[in-house]
Amino acid sequence: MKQKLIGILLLVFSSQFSWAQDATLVASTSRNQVGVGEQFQITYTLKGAGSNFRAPDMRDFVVLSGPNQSSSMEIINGNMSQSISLSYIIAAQREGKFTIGPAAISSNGKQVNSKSLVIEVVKNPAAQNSRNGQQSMDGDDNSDLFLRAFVDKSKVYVGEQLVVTFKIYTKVSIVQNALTKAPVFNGFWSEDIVSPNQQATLRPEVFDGVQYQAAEIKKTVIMPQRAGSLEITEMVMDVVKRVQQRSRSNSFFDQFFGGGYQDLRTTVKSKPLKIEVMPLPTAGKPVDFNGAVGDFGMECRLSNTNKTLKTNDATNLYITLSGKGNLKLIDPFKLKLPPEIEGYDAKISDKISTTTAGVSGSRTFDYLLIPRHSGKYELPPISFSYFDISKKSYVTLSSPDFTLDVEKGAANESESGTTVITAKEDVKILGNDIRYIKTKTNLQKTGNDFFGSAKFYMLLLLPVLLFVAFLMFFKKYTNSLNDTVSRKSKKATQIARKRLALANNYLQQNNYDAFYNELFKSINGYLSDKLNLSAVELTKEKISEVLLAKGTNQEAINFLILTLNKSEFARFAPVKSTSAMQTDYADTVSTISKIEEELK
Amino acid sequence: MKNILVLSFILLSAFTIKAGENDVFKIGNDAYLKNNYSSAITSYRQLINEGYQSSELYFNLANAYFKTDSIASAILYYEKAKKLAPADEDILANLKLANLKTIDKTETKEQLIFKSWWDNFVHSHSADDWGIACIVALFIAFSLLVVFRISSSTLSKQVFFGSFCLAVLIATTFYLLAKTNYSQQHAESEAILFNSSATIKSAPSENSKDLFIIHEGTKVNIIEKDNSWFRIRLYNGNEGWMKESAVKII
Repeated sequence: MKQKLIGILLLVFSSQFSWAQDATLVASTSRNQVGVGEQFQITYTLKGAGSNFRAPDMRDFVVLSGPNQSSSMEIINGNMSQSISLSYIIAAQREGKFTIGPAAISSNGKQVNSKSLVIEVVKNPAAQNSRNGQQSMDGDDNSDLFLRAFVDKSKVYVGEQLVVTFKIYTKVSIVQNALTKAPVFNGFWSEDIVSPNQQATLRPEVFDGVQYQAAEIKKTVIMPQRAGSLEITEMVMDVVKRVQQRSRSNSFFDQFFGGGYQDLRTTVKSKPLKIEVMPLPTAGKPVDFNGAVGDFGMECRLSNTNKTLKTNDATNLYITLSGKGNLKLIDPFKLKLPPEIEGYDAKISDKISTTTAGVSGSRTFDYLLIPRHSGKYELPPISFSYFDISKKSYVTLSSPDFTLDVEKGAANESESGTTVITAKEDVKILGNDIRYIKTKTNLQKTGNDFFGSAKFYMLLLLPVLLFVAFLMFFKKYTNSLNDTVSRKSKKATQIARKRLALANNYLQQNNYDAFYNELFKSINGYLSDKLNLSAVELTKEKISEVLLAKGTNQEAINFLILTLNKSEFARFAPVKSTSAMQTDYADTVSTISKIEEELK
Repeated sequence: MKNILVLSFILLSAFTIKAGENDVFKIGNDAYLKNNYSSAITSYRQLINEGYQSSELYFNLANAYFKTDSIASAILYYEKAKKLAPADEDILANLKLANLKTIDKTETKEQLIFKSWWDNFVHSHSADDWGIACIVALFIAFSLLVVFRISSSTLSKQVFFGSFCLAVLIATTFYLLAKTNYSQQHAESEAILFNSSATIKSAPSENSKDLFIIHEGTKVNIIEKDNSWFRIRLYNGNEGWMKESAVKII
């Protein structure tokens, strides 16, 4: 409670003071004169309130650590002052005089700058720092101390694992070491077995026939991710070694502290390594190959092996891959599930260990499956392909078919005969694609369209022309037809006249049959020629119709029909009376002349 | 005898040519089925280069272009197919999908149902077919007129003259159908942009002001042509000028 109160009070005060006080930013350095590669510290201390710290320009130096923040608060005589310090541990890369530009901070809307720091970097730090001022050094001559990088294989396939080891060899004792530049595994996936943070123990080892004390600084399993010539950059370490002094020093301090030994700071570098990475062969590469390289086994199982499944009950499908290789890089499988089964993303659990033998262990993909409808479902076999380094060929592992027997769950069952209406579902769209091509076509030549061509218009004109031709022909034909008709009708009168004359003869002779025969012939023949009718057409109805059409008087027609009837009747009359012959003859002559007149 | 041989040879060669082009079409279809889209395109293009066309040929070619992600080409040939068969549902569906892949929004006007029926009817037969139908109808009409002239009775004269008028009307209809079909097919009023993007200018000159930018696959209406410049209009009514080389006419 009390603490809380103080805290609140402090806050109140600090806010008051911070606005009353002007902020200052002080830059300081642990040393103004340093050697190449030597670590030193620069600190920026902010007094008062401020925010938005902008780091100084330190391009000439390597930042090894920082910014490290610490804050302090003190109250002296009721005046509270608050300070925050930001520190960097940096090292110079080359000799010369360098300026670390000002750092800046915003305080109450103003920008507060620190002073610039001038650092003098000299060539031989150990010599400069050695208390007896001795110049002779073996800093670069590292025959008694060196860093070696080596790999177990220098020619590998993409994805094949190899172990790279960084080892320090020494004949002298090492007081202190620090990693200044870690190797970069560009194009590799890497996993440390031994990392530089771990305490390295020195063991005697013979290298090139010389006895050394050796320690593994870093040991990493790496897997190239692409083909080509890949490089592992050098590792740089800053080592302080303790060497025996060659000439005796008169310094009191040396005698007191070192006892004839001298601590020398030096830099050791490993050589960059070139790794030849071969691409995986394209021949025989399975379709489902996903980059797995090594030696693997696969096991697939369903969590419910015995009991049958009910709808909406969950089951798990476990796919376990075990073996040696880039297990961590294997992606989850894409399951081809029937649409009625809902599948969820895989949960991945690893039991992977990284040893000097490489990465090995097992990775399990756990798929949760929920069948939504009852039925018997076939899960297609799961296949996994990898490249076997030792056989130098692809291997495909395949699981057996799984059959899911799904029964209707309780939720879907109808109870005590009541009808359960299930919600209707839309037809599930599984994909969207363009419609398939058409297989039947009627190819046409372009450019020679019939429509609009001269041929088209000619054909269009043709019926009109033909009709005109027909009209001309028809007119000619009807004209000639009319000619024959008029000739016939002209003749008809003559023939009728001749027949009538003949009939008159028979009348004089009183030859009854011959008279009526000739009389009938004369009137019939006349009508036939005159009206252009054949003998078959020569009925009384037709005659009257045609005559009427030609505008003949109805009375005249009636008289004609009457006369025709009379002469016909007389021809076949059983009693032959000669008395009517005279009147019949006269009637016939008058009717013909009447018709003749009408038809004119 | 010799004449018969020559005649049969001509007939035979005519048939083999006919089989050849359909074979090429089939080769293209088979390649498409095997997902070998580029060789399908080659086959279809060969037919087009030889001067053949049909809505199905354009449709299949457009499908193959679609599958190879050449969206502008796909749209161009869908539009060409649509010109020959404006109411074909497959063409419209695929064109819609292809238009989804373009950058610019395209708003196709919803067609009235009667309009689509009419289009369907007009393009149910080719212009040539309609033209032939028109000529046949005209022949029938004048045959009827001949019968009318010959017949003597008033009733049959009335009937035949009526039939003649009807046949002339039908022939005129066929002619108009052929004409509509023909002019719709030969209209060059639309184009598809093939450049990845084009800046539409306010005047037919490079120095004129930029108005707006359209992207590959966009359909434009051509209103006017001036040298190598097109005055174009978009579906939303925006107008401007662009280089004719950037587009391909449907």
